[in-house]
Amino acid sequence: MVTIRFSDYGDFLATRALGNQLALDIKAQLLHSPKVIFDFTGVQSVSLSFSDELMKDLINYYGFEHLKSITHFTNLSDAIAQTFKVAISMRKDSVVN
Amino acid sequence: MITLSIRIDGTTDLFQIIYQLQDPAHITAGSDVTLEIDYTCGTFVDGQIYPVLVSYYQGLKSKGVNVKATFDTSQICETVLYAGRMEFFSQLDIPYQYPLKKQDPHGRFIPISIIPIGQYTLDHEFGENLCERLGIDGPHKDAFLFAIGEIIANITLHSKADCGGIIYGQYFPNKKEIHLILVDPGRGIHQAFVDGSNKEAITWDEEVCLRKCMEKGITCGNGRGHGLFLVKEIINRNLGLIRIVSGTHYASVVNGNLSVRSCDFWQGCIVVLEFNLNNPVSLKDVYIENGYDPQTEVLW
Repeated sequence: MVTIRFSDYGDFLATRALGNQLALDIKAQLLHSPKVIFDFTGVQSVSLSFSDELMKDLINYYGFEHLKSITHFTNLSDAIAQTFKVAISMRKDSVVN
Repeated sequence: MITLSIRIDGTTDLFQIIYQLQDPAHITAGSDVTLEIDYTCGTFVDGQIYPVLVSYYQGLKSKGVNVKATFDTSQICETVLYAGRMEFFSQLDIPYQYPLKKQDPHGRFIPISIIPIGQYTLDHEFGENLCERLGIDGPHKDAFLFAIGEIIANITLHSKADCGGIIYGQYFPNKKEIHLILVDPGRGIHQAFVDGSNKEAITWDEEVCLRKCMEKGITCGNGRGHGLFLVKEIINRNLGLIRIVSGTHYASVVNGNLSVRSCDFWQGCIVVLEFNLNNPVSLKDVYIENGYDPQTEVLW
């Protein structure tokens, strides 16, 4: 199991380009590890744009149910968790099967 | 050689500086331009002026214009000191040595900072110290950071400005307000819609674009159309202000009322946010009240 520390990318994660980069890095880790932990320790804020881009990429690539089985969110603030939930809720229905 | 004479003093506001930056000589790549900035020593200049000048200057440079800015920094007065503290001169490539011990900007302002386009992440220190610098904590923090993040995301996604954008923020303790300005010299909102894949939006004029860009679900094709809408909703609940200048129009949202008026031309986009720290806003409430439901999902 591998942990990706989101704070390694900054403590203020705003842009879609960053979401795209993180998705690439997560996919690279999942080539070699059965599960990846998303650790948000030290992250102050995420934008909906960033979260949407990240989840869009991952949900489209892995499918929602499979993504849930191979990743895990940890150490999020309430606000960051809410934003990710909104992003996931918006993207779930547009999964490309 | 083209000389643009800019005059700033205590009465210069955002629209007056935009007026002064109108291009009378059709500046093109390869043009030699001097931005000659004249000021009245000792006057308090509206902080919004400086990032607009920086963005204009950076925009010209990125388009291959041989631009030089001049500003008499020899006078030791509050006008010059203030501009020096906010990194105005360094961003204009004007040599300047701050003559006094620099005050810690903590709790006071974000110096004029570049929002890069090409790089995928913001400068680490920017985010890390943002709230500390502006004295934001507790219930204000999440919604405030969210709003800034969405505007920054828009600049990096939509502006197509090679030089990136500019951000500057200041805390006014007497009013308990934070004023932020984010500027880019990119293609502007109308052009972003024209260039995009939203077939209906391609036909919109500038005024319609400015009205629509803050509506839920309206996108030029890139993005989902929720960021700016949510920023507006945060500002409404905060009883703050959002103003967006792009092209020859600007939109203002104050007390929930949107108005669009004409102004002198700005190539790109300027977003002004004013937060009232007396009115904390819950990001969760903003989500729920606008039909985004963060309750039903469970993160795994």
